[in-house]
Order: sequence, then C-alpha cells, then structure tokens
Amino acid sequence: MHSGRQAGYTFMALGLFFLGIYLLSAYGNHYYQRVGNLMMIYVILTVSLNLSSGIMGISSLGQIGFMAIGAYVAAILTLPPGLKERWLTGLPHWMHSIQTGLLPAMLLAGLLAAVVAFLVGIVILRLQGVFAAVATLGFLIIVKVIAENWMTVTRGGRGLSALPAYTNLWWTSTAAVVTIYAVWRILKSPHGRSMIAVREHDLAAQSVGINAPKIRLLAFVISAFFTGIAGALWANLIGVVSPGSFYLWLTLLIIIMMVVGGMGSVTGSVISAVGFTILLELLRGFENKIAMYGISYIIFAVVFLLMIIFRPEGIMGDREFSWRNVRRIIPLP
Amino acid sequence: MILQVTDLEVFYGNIQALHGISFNVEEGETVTIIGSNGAGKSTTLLTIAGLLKPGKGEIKYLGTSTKTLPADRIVRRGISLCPEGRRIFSSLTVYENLIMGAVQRRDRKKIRADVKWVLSLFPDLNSRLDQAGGTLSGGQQQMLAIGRSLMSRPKLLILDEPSLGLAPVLVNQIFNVIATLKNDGTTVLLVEQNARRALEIADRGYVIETGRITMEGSSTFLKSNDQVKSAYLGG
Repeated sequence: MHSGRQAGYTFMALGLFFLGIYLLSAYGNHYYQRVGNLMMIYVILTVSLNLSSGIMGISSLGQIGFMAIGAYVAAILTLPPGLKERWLTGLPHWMHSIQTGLLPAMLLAGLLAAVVAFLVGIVILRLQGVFAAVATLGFLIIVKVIAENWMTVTRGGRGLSALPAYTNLWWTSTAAVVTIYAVWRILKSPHGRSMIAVREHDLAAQSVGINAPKIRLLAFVISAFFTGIAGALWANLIGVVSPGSFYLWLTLLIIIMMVVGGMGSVTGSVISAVGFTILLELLRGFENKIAMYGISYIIFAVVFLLMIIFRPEGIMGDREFSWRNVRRIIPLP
Repeated sequence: MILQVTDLEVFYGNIQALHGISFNVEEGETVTIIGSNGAGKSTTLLTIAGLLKPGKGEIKYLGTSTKTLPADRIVRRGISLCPEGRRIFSSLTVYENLIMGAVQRRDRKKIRADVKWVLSLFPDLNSRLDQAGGTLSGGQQQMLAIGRSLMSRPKLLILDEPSLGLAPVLVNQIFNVIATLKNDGTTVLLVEQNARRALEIADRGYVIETGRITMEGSSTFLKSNDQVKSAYLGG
C-alpha cells in the first residue's frame, strides 16, 4: 500500500479521535471526562513502560517512582503562591512567587524525571534481570520515603492539595498521541532495532558494535521522561499528590497492562490500557451494585491470570497495528 | 602484524581461565586456535573483542593497544567477532539482522551494496530477507550470523565455532565461504573443535590447553604432529 495513503488514513483516524475528544469535552459529563483523562494517562504510562521493559527488556519495578517525581514537580510548580509560602518553607524564596501553567510544569516534570533516570540508570542498569527488578523497586521505595519525610518540600504524608485543575482531555489526549508517536518512531528507528538486539542477545549485540549500556540508558531515560509527564497530568487532574498514590498498586497496574497488551508492542499497550481502564470502571460499578467491595480487584487479577496462562505473549505479542492488516479485514478505499 | 597478543591472562572472578597466552596474526593470514572444551578458546576471542576484560598482558591491533577499549570501539577499529552459538536476533528480520551488523556505519549506499555481497556468499538467505531470524534453520542462522559480522567490513574476522552442530553438507558450505573470504584477502582468526577442517583451511595454528598455548606451527606441521593427531584429529 502506498505510504502517502497510509499517512492519509492515519490523519483521518487522528481527526476522528480528536473529534471524539471534542465531543466528550463539550458534551460528556464529569465522570466520563475523568475516565477519559485517566485512560489517556494510563496509555502514556503503559506505552512508556513498554519502551524500557518490553522493547528494551529492563525489568523495572520502579517506573512509578518517575511518575511520582513528575507529579511532585508539577504540584510544586502549579501550587498557588500563598500555599507555597505557607507549606513549602524548604523551597528557595524566588520559587514561592512562581506559579506556572501546565505546559511548563509538564515539561519540567518530564525533564527532572529523565535527569533522575539518567543518574539512577548509570548505577542500576549494570544489573540485569531479577537484580535490576530488585534495584528499581529499591528506587521506588526511596522516592516514597523521601516524599514522606521531606516535609518542607513535599509536605510529607499530608501531601500537596488544592492544585489547580489544569488537566483536561485536550492535554491528556495530545500527550498520549505524542508519546505513542515518539515511542513508535524510536521502535522503528535504528535505535529501536539496537534495543531489540541488546534485549535478545546482549553479547551478540555488543559484538556487532552496539554500545549496550548506552542504548539501555537511552531507553530508560526516554521512558522516564514520558512517565514524568504522566505524573504531571495526574497531579493536575486529581488535584492532590501524596506519597501513597505512587506506589505498588500503580506499579502492578501498568505492568499488568503492558504484559496483557504484549511486551514490545506499542499497539498492544494502547489497546490494553484502554481496555483495562474501561474494565476497572465497569467492575467498580458492579461492585457498588452488589456491595461486595474489593471484588473488582479479584476479577482483575483473574483476567490477568487467565491471560498469562492462555495467551502469555499478550494480545498483540510484539506485532504492531498497520493499515495493511486492517485492509485485509475491512475494504478501505 | 594485524594482531599481537602477549602474555594474556583472563579471570572469571577468582578462576583463572587464561594463564598468559601469546600469539599473533599477520595481515591476510588465516590462523586457527584448536583445543578441547574449556581450554580457553572462546575466552580468548571474547577478550580480543572487548567483551571480557583482561587481567595482565597486552592486545595490540595494528600496532596500538585495544586492551582497555569497549567492544563497540573495537568493532569500529575493524575487528568483528561472530560469537559461538549463532546468537542471531530472532525477532528481527533477516534483513534487519544484516543491517545491525553495519550499525556503526553511515554510508548507506555501500551498506546496501554489502548486503548484496553477503547474499552472494549465502544465496540461501536471499528468499528469506523478510522472515524473522528465529524462523531460520540452524545452518541458515549460522550463515546469517557470519553474514552479520561481515557487514561491518572487518579487517580481522573472528569466527567462534562456525561449524558447531551443523550437518556435514552445511559444514562444507560454511568452510567454502571462509575459503572465499580468505582468497579475497580477509584476515581470519578461526576457533574450531573440528580441528581437521580448521587445519585444512588455515595457514598456521595454535593448540591451547587449559589456558596455555602448548603448540604452534604451520598447519602442515600440526597436521602431521603425533600429539595433535591423537588428541584432536582422532588418531
């Protein structure tokens, strides 16, 4: 199929997607908008985790630590100056009077998460497999402990509240599209092939001249950047950040989303994040109706178990969406 | 002299794998290292390629030391190792596998020409360019692995057990390609358990036993040596 035509389809699909976003923003009720926002944030988290874990093969349990860093950076930047002065006495004075909008907060959140990933990665990425998993989990714990105890900057366990609700569907959906596009482009680039090569055979990859530590660090840092942005969006959506929000539940949730979607498949991550967000919301409704609280988590876990048993490679394996394949099923013009 | 290894010692933790080995390879030569399992052949090759860090000793390539260089810099200098056990990238296509071999090169036109050249050496791969590497047979995977290591256009090609586990027909095919490369002037350092075939194709050889070089000489000398005969050539 002609590549110009494929681009045309892609633009049309994007047009339809943003039309949907417009309709939801204009006519959807608050609940649907909130679910839509969460869905887009989960898409960003899952796709960026897939870059470092699925595509690059770093067993990371610390991804949500980068989300926490992003969320706190955005929270501190967007918190109203009065509250900042009262709560965050540990900040330098010039920062008390600053209150940024969402875009600078997002970018700085991503950047700081990336810088931390760079520093942490230099050390942690020397480890592999289960050792890397334990070390990244250690990182997550450290982030949480710092957030809990750095009273004059994070306000400890009470968290930062009264954040302006900047996040809306336009921000989250645009950030999700940018993340998907960026990770997709990386996957299809020579860097992406190098990542797959290092994942599959570290030694062979190095013997053809790939700088394996460098490429692993690259995947880790880019992944942390987008995860930090997701943290910023989350902070200004929920309006509160506290240490407990960014811990094991979210860590497990995005790992499950990635694995069920297919490790290595961007398409799979998107499908899975969208699907699980809807499933979780439906289950929550069901739970309230029958008044058996907690049952949604059990059903969620069973879905995951069944998937691991009957389709361990996930929904998509490592395959990707292509218009060519769509055309085989639906006759497109 | 393209490669000169002097008194090389390598450790795995506390265990010493190489006890000071010395050998050299001249430009245009084919040199083989023979020895049994665990003698230190692969260790030697991995160290030359920068994938293992040496203890004492020196590795000189084209007159300068490569002892402390990381693997990717060594590839850039012109040394290419085709590691033991194929190790192709199974989820990448055959074509992508070949391209990965040229990951440090930027001359796109020449890379495309070199893909054609590799395919002329291994015509079996021609019809399988879009297939995932993991779907190839063992012999085809070995050809792909050798082809991939040729894509960096090495001055020194290092082959670790290229005939391991292959049917005799395929072993012939692989050795024919090595002979072609040799005739084209590529310098080859070959490690083999199939000592007979290795000595047939090589100009010179070294025998390595428990981390030490115990014998060296021209292939004709080694082939007629009684010790080599009984230990490696099956009497």
